[in-house]
Amino acid sequence: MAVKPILISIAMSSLVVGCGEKAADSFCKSHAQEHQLHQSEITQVNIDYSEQGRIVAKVKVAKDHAQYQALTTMADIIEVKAVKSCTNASVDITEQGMFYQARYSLDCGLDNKLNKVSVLVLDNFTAIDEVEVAISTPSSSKHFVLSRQCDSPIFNL
Amino acid sequence: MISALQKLFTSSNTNSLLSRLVGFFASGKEQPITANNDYITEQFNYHRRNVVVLITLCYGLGYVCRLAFNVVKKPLMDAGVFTPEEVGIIGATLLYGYALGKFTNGFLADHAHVGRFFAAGLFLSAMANLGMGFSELAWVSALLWGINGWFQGFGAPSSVVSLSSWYSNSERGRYYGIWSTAHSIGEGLTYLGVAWLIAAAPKGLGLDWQWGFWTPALICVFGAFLLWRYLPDKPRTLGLPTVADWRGDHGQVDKEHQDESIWKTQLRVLTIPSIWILALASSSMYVTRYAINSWGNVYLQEIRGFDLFDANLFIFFNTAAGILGCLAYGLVSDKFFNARRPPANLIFAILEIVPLLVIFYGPQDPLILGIALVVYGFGLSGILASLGGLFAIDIAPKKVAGAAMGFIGIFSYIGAGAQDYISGKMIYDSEIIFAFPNGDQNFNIFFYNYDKPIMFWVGASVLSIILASSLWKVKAAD
Repeated sequence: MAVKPILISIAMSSLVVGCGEKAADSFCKSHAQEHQLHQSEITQVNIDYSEQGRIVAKVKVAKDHAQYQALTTMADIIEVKAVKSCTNASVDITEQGMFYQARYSLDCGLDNKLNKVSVLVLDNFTAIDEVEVAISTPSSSKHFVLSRQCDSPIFNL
Repeated sequence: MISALQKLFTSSNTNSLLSRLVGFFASGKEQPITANNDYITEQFNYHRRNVVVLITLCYGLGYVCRLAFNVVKKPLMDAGVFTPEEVGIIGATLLYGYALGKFTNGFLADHAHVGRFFAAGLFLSAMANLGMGFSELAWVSALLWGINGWFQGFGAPSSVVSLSSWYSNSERGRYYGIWSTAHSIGEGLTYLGVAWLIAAAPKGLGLDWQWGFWTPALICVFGAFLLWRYLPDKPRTLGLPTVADWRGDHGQVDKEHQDESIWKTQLRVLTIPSIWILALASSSMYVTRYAINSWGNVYLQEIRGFDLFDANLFIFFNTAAGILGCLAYGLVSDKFFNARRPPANLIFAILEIVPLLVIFYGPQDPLILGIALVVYGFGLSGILASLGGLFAIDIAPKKVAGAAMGFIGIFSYIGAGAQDYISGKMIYDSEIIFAFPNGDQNFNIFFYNYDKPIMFWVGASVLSIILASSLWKVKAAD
């Protein structure tokens, strides 16, 4: 049996696979370690869903990336789908140097079941390339980065 | 049964492929016992050493093909390939398949050449794992994983038949304990080895989830080869006396049923009330066992925030401690309680439940979590060695050890399978999706609440102890 051609094929395939890594893949794999270097410039989203059923979302975004007016409508930033509708929606926006700090809150109630919370910052603000997100729920918390260059969230920052 | 089937097929068509297949798996005919005592001793020593090493090693290797899915659950859920409910259903099909396999194969194993029988199961399980690596359809994966469960059910009855054929009553606890370490060896290999393949660099190789199935398949093919080549048939088929005669180690002899056929004795096992209670106790304990095995690493990643490698490392600690738990259980029950299992059951059950409470309701410190998992693994493996088989073998007539084990097995794995589905459903019902749409792409982050599943898992252990303790006065049969 001709072993040599098989071995050469395997070696060539390995080379193709090994050298074929895209720049974006490389960025996504290594960014968790490098993110801290530019953390202060990145859009930040902090969401706290409390045991009492209150959702508070804080968005810190550079003035270059978002217009003040665009931040004032809650439906453009956060959308909640729950068994019962949420009430007492409020929006508060302040300026902090080069950034806007927006705070969105709404009360979904104790006995409500949240199904989906959509955060629309990437969809509605095309100038934003990357978002650092921290979400806290009564059961657990998660901290990650979303980048337009990557297919999936980057955890373990 | 296999001999009867063989005769049936032989009578209709002497060259039938099925007849030859059945004949291949059938245990050999009993041979006249050789008169040479030195030869008998030499053969027993040789085969007994081989048997315990082979069944422990290969049953352990087989576990990798059973548990691979547990390690890749989180990557599959995160990638949106399957929802937690689908993951629960797929996981459950294996356990139902395994329950069925353990029961049917338990009855078959009493009649089979266990080396060939066990090897076939392991090889076919490897093929199912190979297929899993190619499937992203929930129903295909569920089907393959269910079939895998049935193939996995060849191992335990074959091992138990080997144990009851080659080791006598007073020593079986120790050898059973050694064999039971296979659970932990296999779980350890999976939760450390397979997790290392899948976990992101630098802790792991960062391979795609498919390798979490293909690598176990290779390992199981290797195990199947060892069994097929080296695991012997029963002593009487090799011209040796029974191990009880050779060691002069007989238990209570049931003279009324001594000459009963194996088939009748197998059915009689089902009329023993203690076996039913034991089956329920084992079933409840298997709920907890497979809850931690199936969802433990997902819980540690989701709720406690560990990465895939660290979460599986914690589960590995629990399984590694299980090796000591199995050995200690056999030793403690044989030596300190004169082969009585119930007192040892109670001690090991307490060692299982207390750390379970610490894991879920105790301090969040990783060190305390690690210690609790180690003690939990020690206690759980000990009591499982008893409830999942050893105690049943004690109670049942030895010539139908496979059937007794199969009966306990079907209950145990129905419990485990129901657990996987119920847990998956409860977890899925609590799901909250935080979505970050980005044009055509959607980043979905899933949040789950484990409060209800945890109550279910802990409650099952408590029920198991209550049931097991009700068998305090039950004694071993021959």
